Amino acid sequence: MTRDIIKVKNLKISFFTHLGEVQAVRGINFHIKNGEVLGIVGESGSGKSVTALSILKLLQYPGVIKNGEIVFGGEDLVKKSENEMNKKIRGNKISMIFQDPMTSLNPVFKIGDQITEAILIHNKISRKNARKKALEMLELVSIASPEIRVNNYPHELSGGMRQRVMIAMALSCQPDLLIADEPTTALDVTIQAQIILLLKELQRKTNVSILLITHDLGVVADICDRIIVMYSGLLMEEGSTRDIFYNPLHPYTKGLLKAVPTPEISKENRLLTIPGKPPELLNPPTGCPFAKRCPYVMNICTRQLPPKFRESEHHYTMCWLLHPSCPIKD
Amino acid sequence: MLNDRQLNQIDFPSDSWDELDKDFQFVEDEDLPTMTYWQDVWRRFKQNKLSIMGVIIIFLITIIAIFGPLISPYTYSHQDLNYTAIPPLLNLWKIGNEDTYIYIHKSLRIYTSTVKGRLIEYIPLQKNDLINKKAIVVVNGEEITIDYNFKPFKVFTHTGKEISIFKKVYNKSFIFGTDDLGRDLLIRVIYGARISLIIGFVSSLVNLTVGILYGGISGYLGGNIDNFLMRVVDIMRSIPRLLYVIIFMVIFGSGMKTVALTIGLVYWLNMARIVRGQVLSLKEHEFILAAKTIGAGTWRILIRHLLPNAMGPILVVATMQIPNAIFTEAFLSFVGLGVSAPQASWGTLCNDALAGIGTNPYQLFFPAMAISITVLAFNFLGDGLRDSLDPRLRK
Amino acid sequence: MLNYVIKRIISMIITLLIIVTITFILMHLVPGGPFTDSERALSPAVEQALMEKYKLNDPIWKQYLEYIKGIIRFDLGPSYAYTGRNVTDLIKNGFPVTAKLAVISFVLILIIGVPLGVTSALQHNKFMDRLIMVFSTLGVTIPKFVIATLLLFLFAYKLKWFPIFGAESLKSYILPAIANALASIAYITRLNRSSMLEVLEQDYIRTARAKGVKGYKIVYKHALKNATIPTVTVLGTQMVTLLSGSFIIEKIFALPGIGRYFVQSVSNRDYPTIMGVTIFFSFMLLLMTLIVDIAYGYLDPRVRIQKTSKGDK
Repeated sequence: MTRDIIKVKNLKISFFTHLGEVQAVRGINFHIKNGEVLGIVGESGSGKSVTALSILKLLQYPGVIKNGEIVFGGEDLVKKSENEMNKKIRGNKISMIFQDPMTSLNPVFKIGDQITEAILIHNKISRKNARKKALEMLELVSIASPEIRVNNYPHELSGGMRQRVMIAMALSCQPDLLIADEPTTALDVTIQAQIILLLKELQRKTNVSILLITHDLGVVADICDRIIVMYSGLLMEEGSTRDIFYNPLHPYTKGLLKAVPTPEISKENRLLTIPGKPPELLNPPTGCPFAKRCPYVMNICTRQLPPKFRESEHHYTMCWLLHPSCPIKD
Repeated sequence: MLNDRQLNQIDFPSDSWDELDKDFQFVEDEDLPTMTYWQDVWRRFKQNKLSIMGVIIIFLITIIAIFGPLISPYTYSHQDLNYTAIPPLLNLWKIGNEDTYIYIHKSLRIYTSTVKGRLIEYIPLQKNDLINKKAIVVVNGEEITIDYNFKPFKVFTHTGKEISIFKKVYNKSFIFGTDDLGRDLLIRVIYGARISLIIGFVSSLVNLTVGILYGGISGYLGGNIDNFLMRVVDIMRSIPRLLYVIIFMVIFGSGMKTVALTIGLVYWLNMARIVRGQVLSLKEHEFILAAKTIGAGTWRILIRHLLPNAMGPILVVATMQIPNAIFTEAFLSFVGLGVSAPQASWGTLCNDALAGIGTNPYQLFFPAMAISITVLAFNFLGDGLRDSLDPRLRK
Repeated sequence: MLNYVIKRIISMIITLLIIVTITFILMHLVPGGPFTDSERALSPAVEQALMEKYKLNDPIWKQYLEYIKGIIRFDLGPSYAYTGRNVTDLIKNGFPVTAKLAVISFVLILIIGVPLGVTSALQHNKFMDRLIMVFSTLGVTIPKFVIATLLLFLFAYKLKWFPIFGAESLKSYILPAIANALASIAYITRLNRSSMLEVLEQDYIRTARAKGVKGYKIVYKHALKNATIPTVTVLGTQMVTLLSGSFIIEKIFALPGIGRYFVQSVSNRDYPTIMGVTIFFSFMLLLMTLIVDIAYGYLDPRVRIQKTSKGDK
């Protein structure tokens, strides 16, 4: 139960653009336990989606994994060939759902065929059985009258339904890990809650580990066991959901929580109450990237990147405020 | 991860834990200077080397078309039957010891020439022995025999000594050679540029006017009128328009003016659709609403707001219409409905040269090159305009 | 779907009627009769006889009604230039040649243009892409008749690989079809390249990758169908280009198709033939557009549904 399903070590991702190297992820470490739901929270550009894509090695040039290991099932995925990834990992051991269900399904194929395809790639079963399995999956994600829906094209389904189809497709090969990249962002608020509920339920049923990426603290509060807060390509704080919500240590996390007074948030007021914007990652600042926006900024913050401080067994943060010499205490 | 002991070993400067110095300057993210739409368009356009090249080529061709005929010693209609079908590349024979050179045309016409390839005069044959295929000509008092049993011809002095080809030179009198009526091809191609460009520009202008009026009215009025007008466009789109150009030409007679007008009048459908689409989408835009709420009149809205915003796609279509018209005109010339002789467009020049492709390929080469280069230049310009005017289309 | 097709056919007939009317009016706008030609000065008596023979002295509405009646019987009236021959016969004679030329050109466009465009997109910004783009740019800038003449000169006259004229064998159609299709091939190549590039950036391609679909399968299964949709929509207009081009091509390669009759009828002022061929070509194009639209519906399910739901109302 407490076995790590995946371990990401010192992952660095850069984009080589015509302006120069943009360091999107600057060395992050995290792990996900078997059957655990880990949330990665951060605003756009914090490197969370890039991290998710890099696990499946779906990053495309100019994005490159510069350094680090992604250990999954005792093997380093970074070193795996494209062929091995396709055969064993993608859609099989690890699968992924994306932000916009409206565009994530191929418009010219029936949804049944799209699910069946995923099953047939990774299982040696007949087309007929794969289709049966696809029907089961649609039932699993609570789509009404699946035998009719399999023959529908994506545009005939609502956004929520399409995301359900995406989830059905992703779980069709019983993966060990499901990566959900902002699965609710493009949906209506009521649908968002349904999808999160569904994910929660499916997690319980199948014991799949989930890496949930979102900028929405309301979403993670509902479903995650642990939370990682990312900012500017760095891991700012890591802890259990309880730790993050009731004992936030990093000023950025605090800011995020202040921006979200209740778990039921609306799209308009999500992260906007922290003034300023994250630094450009073309030339990241020497010190803490949050220094410019931080209300507690000290001289050291602009001089040196803070190390990871441990608050408790599973609760870490990257902030000088945690240093024993620091005079400021809450 | 460092533990507390390791951290304590690091020596921090004493002011580390003070509040950040007031004078500390964060590295500001470089903000791009704000630019107006057209400045931005120009910036993007400049980056596209091919379109810049296109502009330069079009500019040069226009300049040549305007001023070329003023400089040239020939006119487009001047015929000299002694100088027909002379190629741009000449074989010279050296006669005697003096600097006398002759060029022998394949139809057995002899010209004296300078060593550089400038033709001096036409020298008629003295005697032509058709049975033995030998011709005699007198150049500078020297008698020369040309044996045309061979190809290339063999040339002998009066002593019977064979003279070999002295050298190959470019024709300096007629750089592009002459046509089958002895007209200078260079000036005809330059003159053709005038005709072809005028047809291109005029038809583009006609197209623009009709298209903007029709599309603008349709889009602005909307409703049933719009439905009807667009239905008409749909019907017209589904017919072979080139055939109607031809029918119009048959009705109105050929000539430069009719060609330009007809092409403009038949190909405005795309323009109308684009203008209408632009007007429709812009009508819904908030800035139009804003203009209305501050009490701007219909015309003011049309001129100040709609037009500049719809300008981009309109400009692109208008640009692309020019090469299209040049092509269509060439096609009409081919069918015998182009500009009338002795006027010559590039299309008629190509058409005239087609028959002699086996013997005088250069006559096709130059006007065809002119068309291709011009069309290419306009294509580059159009592509560049599209990319820079509409950043959304950029990939 | 059936409803939709029926609706389209009805609208096609109406369009055709409008086309016939406009063409008829245009042809009767020509100043002077068809026989008042300075080159073939006819005596007034002969001219009058001719006018009588072709019923040109009837009031125009009567001529129009006669013409419409004729069209319903597939009779486009007698040709003025080919004495004793009917325009319908001319079209019947020429159509097999023109159709063969168009079909071969069409096939060339599809089997060359689409793969080239896809290759270009997959090799984006590499050498192959650049090379294909150079050729496809040149392809649209050289006039058709120049290409045709050059091909004829090079491969038929000089190298003698192909016959110089005639339409006896399939071989005779190869050069004309290439000359006719080249510009369209270039256009389709560019179109396919850009739409393929666009499709490869889409989210659903990323989904397919995340499923573990292999690289080539992503291209041929997931991307190609989406990327060819824009191609299908322009096939109708490309058909226009091909048919118009066949006028030139048939003349240069001396193919006895409709286009050649048309070009001749233009110089002969053979009005019934001009009119008949125009109407016939318009009809062919309307038919093509209809077929393309139906094919489009099958390729793109989004369109199909809209149409059926509209038709059901």
